[in-house]
Amino acid sequence: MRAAIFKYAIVCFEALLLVPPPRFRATYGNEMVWLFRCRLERAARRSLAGLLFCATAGLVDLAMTGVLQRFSERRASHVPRLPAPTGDPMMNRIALNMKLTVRNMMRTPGFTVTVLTTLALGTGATIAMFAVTDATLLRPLPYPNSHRLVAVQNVDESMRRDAFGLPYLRDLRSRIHSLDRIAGYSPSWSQTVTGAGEPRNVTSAYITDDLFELLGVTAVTGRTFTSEEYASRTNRVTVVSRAFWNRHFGRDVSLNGQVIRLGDQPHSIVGIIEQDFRLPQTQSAVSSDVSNAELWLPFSLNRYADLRSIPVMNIVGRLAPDATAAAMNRELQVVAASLAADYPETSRGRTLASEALQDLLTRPIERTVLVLFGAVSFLLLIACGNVANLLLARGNARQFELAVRRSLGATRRVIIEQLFVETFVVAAAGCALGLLIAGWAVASIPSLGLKGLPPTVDVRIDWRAGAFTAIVAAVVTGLFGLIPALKLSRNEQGNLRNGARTTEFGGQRLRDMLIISEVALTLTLLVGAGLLARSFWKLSHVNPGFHPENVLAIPISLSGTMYGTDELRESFYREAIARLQELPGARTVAAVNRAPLSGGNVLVPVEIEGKAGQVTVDRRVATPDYFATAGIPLVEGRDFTSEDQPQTEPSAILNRTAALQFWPDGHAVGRRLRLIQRNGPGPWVRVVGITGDIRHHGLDRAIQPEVYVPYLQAAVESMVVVVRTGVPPETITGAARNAIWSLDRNLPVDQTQPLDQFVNASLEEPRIRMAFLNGFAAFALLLAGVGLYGVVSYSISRRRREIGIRVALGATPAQIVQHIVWRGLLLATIGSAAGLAASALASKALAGLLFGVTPTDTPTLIGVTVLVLFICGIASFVPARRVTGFEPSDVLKGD
Amino acid sequence: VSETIVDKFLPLTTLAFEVMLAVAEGQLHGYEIMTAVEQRTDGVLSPNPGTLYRLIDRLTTQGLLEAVEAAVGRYQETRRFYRLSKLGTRVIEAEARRLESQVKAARARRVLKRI
Repeated sequence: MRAAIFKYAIVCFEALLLVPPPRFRATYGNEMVWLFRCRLERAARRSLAGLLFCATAGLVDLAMTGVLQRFSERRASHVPRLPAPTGDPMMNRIALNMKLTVRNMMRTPGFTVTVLTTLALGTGATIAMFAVTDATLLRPLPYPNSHRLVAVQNVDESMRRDAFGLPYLRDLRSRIHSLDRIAGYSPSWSQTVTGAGEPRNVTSAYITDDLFELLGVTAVTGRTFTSEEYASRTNRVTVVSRAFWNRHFGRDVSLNGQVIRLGDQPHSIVGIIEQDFRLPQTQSAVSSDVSNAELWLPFSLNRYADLRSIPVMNIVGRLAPDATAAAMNRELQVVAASLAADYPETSRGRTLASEALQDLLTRPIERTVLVLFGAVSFLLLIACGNVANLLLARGNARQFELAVRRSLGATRRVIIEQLFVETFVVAAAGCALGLLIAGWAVASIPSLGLKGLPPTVDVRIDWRAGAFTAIVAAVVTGLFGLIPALKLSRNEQGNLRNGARTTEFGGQRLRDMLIISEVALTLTLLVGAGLLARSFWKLSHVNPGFHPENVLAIPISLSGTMYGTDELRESFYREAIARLQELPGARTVAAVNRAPLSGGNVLVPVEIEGKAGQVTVDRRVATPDYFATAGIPLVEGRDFTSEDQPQTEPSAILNRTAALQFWPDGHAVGRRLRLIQRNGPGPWVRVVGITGDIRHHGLDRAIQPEVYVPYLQAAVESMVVVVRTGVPPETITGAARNAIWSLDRNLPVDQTQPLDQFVNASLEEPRIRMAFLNGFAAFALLLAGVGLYGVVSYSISRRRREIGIRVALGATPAQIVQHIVWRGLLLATIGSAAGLAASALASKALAGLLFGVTPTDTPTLIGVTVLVLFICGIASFVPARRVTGFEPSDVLKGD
Repeated sequence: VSETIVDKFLPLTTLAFEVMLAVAEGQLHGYEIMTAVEQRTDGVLSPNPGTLYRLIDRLTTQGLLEAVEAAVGRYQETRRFYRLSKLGTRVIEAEARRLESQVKAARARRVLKRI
């Protein structure tokens, strides 16, 4: 982060050195860069904020002193010089016009700064957002031939897309001919690495042969796996990432048969691969356990490697050179039918589907990115509207100059050319500054910690962003340079005669139109922002169904052979719960296999006694007291107790949704159901209680039917121990870790966190989305307000004579102020009406991102309209107040 | 050089005075000037590159400072050093006297307590 800021600051500084005059630059340029670098280095050693301040201060200072230096040198030697007219006359004229423009801009610094700031912020936001859009949606994935990569999915009866069991790989390879390479991977398996300091959980991925080749990965040191290693069940080898290596062994240590322990198994490291290789992953932003794999293992070492029924393997393939996507899909249907015939127990009723890897990865965030990009384009349009207004206003003030030029023989074309070049210079300068702003913005993206971005994304400002900037500059010039140019150049001979005393204010209607469009765009943006803000408010006030405050969650995984039997694991958890119970501040302690909102889930089919068919439910495993600890209300019946032993009658607790779905008569307690397990239906289970519903999958997701079974009747390896505390849970995190370590020093507990962190994490993506859109909307409102202010105060200055006459004829200042404010509000009202109509169309794009709010939410629409009218009222009132100081005699004296 | 020419430069701006003060004892390059000014003023003045070099440029053009180039360091890089010119020495002296008389007046009227 600091290094990026540092680099950008230096680049900006070097670019800004173009501001001071050439002589100054040649004499002091190098020294100044060197001094700036020294200051930055010093500031960087203190704090990030200090560095940012130092960089900004240095850049602003350079820009300002540069301009001042130019002024003072011009004053010192004011000799007008015109280039000898050589070469192409049109190019000469354009060059001359550019020079004129720069000189004009220098002469009116206030105007220049306003225009450039508006344009720079508008284009800066747009370019930065373009870079994000480009990186997420447009640019090909960082794999060779990425446009021919497809993901193959195993679709079940309910059209859910699933993965495959490893044994399917061979079948798919031999039957699908339209893919010339097929490989499988499983991207996120938590592994415990021990032996190097505190035990750590590291994300690992299991891969089959061909995967590295397919995705273009080579080892930078050592090698990748051999085909024997891919097939072997006993040869424990691993490939690690450069980052993992540097952290565990150090940057300077070379690969020499090092061994790490994963769980309790030694694995020898055979290779190190590129730092930035990432597997395609499709998890949503909410689940907290998405992280990039740092260890790669042959799939044959996976504990589910020989099970066809456990879907652990994602399939990716490359389309053969002569195959088409349509042909592949036809072939997949045939293959699905043959698989269903050969493996009825796992493949019956299933089909195969394919999706381009790119689409699969970008779909979850496509809408958010496009909405934000749309919002930012609105912002740019509003900024352009303001600039066009300013140019028009200034152009009007220059009518006399233009009239003189015309009467001296300038053709209309020449004048259009001059105005056009002026706009272009302004737009180019604005875009160049915008590019710098975008650079800063993009450099700060990693520090925002945006989990919403897929892991394969690398946002940067490159030549594509540069090309986009050029297009933006051209569009800005075309749209907003052409209008004033055509408008102003039309002026016929009349003006010279009227001189500066004209009372007609040409272009007023055009400026009004611009303001109306700006208000309309602003209102549209604000409606979007308001809807997202209300969604977020509603989302954060959703009752999750449990009480996450004052609960500490400690995920513990007992994989490996140290805890090889259910008895060992059971006694571990019993002892852990007992020790945590003794901690000062702990109230109740229990365990569950998946904590709410943590992103994990286990689906199982169940059969209901007396009913045909199966229903899929979420299965959870809980210990006694779990519901009290997590704050889930028990609605009916009893909790699990220590009486629920393996030899007693199996019991289960349903959530309310499941109870009502299975037995709509409302009498679920005492009825029986059974869970379908890997080897057929399990024993009948009696329902002993009903709990309240919880939002397990996300605050905005529907509640799913859930079945809880007691831990003693369904031992699992991984549990989340939850501790309800009487004190803030952060305060006992350390003590809780030590309690676990007193049982087993090698258990990783680095993911211990308060349960409400899960709730916060699940709000992260909507929060970021809302914050961005609201920021854009607030900025748009500011721009529209400033624009209206400018238009009103300009029209007042143009109408001084008219107002003077009115006052002389007896109008009171209050009447005039009222008249002006009404006019401003009239524009705002027309704009708002247009904006409401536009937002009805635009907010359809938001539909998928809203929660508990319809796109035509009346309170939002009313609130936003009132806000816009209020701001517009103020923006016209403030300049209008100036007319109270008018003395008609002063104004009319000139005549 | 008559007194009137020296007086033409007075009063000096705060930063100009500090910069000239910094190079009064010997030649310094840009970074040394900046750190010297910062140390003298306890960090109250910390000129950015733009401001500093614009000032140096002005002082050099006015003839108060002189730039000398010298090769320094292990790699014998050419670096520009600044020092007071004869005129500069007299200007800063005059400015110091002017300030001194102001301080004396402040003491006499008990605006500034004697230490």
